[in-house]
Amino acid sequence: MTATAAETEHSAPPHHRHIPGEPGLWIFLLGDMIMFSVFFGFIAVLHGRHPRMFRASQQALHPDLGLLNTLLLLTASALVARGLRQLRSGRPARTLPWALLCALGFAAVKGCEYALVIRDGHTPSSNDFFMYYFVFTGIHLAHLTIGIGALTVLVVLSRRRALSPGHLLVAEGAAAYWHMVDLLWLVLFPLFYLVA
Amino acid sequence: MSRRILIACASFGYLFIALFFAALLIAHWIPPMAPNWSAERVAAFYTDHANSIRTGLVVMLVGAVATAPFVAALSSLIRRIDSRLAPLAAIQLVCGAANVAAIFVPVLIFTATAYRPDRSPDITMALNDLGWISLVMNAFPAIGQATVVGVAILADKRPTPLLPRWAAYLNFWMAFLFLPSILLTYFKTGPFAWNGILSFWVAASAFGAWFLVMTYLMVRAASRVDDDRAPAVLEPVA
Repeated sequence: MTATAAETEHSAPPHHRHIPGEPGLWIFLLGDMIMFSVFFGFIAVLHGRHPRMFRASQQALHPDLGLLNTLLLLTASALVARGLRQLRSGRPARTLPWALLCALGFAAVKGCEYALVIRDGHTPSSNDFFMYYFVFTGIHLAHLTIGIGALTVLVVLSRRRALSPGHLLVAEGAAAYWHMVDLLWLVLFPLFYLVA
Repeated sequence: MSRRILIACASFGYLFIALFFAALLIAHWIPPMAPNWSAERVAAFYTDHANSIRTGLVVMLVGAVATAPFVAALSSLIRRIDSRLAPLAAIQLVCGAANVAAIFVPVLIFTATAYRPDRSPDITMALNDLGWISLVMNAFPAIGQATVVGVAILADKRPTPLLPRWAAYLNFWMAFLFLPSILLTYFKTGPFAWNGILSFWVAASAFGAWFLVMTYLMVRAASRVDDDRAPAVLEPVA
């Protein structure tokens, strides 16, 4: 059973190295981050080759909304970290529903920004900048949508009175996934909105 | 006996990968033709390489059938994890069967394209578009297959699962890597075009790696399953 494996993991002395979630999950997380690194490479190359087009297109984005979204994700991550600590120590984790709210807020703000950019006449076929912008932030938004599912799992788990070690592994996995979504945005945001 | 059949069926994964990538090389499709080539250039490519393309396609056609035993072995193993996973095994089988078609159909379209390379270049270009789009944009059955295999592996709660749990996450990652190819419908150049880094190179490498890793794990798992399930004794016909 995974539960027994987790039990031995948690009863191990504190210096024992603990991998959050289950080790296999990190194949997905690291793999995903490699994939996004390729995306980041594409953006950097585009900026290097067409700096003027890049800067002109960048003007059409809404850095204030991007910053708002960055703050929402950072807040969510802090709330998730706090919630997970409380879950581990068996206390009620009341911060988790707020993290979920922040995630939903990100999706709503992103939707508004897409609508504003499209209203101004910029679409993925306008130029390579907007193609990358829509595709890469869209793929990130798809990840965030899965993240909303992960946070929902966390909220549901936090309503239980006591968590089994197996549940705790699931909670850690969900939190690790969420932090990845946050981390990826922390690179996407400056690359699209701030690099000049 | 069942163990040997399982191992043999699973091993067809190796044969498929060998035939599939050999076919791409024989047909001069690595690197792939570009979507922004002119009709004349496309027609010239088919004129210059007519027989290599035809031969490569025959090899790929054989390869497509080689996925059938592999897919059957995978469904059989999923049912061995837990007989209650039978619906997942069935989804895997349906998606796997769709994958056979997803290779068959473009092969036949390309064969028709290479059949008369001296026809009007515009027609050759249209057929060539149809072939490449159906070869690269056919990822969805594979995405469904990888996802359902991942779920089935995670459902194995025994101390030593039949297929290792990391393989489940590998399957989820593969499903994600196949995804960008659906964007080729919007682009003729760049990473998402049918010859692009993300639509072609990453997706094709992931596809090949997925088959190799799964075949290896399946052969290993098949050698662990019990071999003693004799067929049920049948009542004599009255």
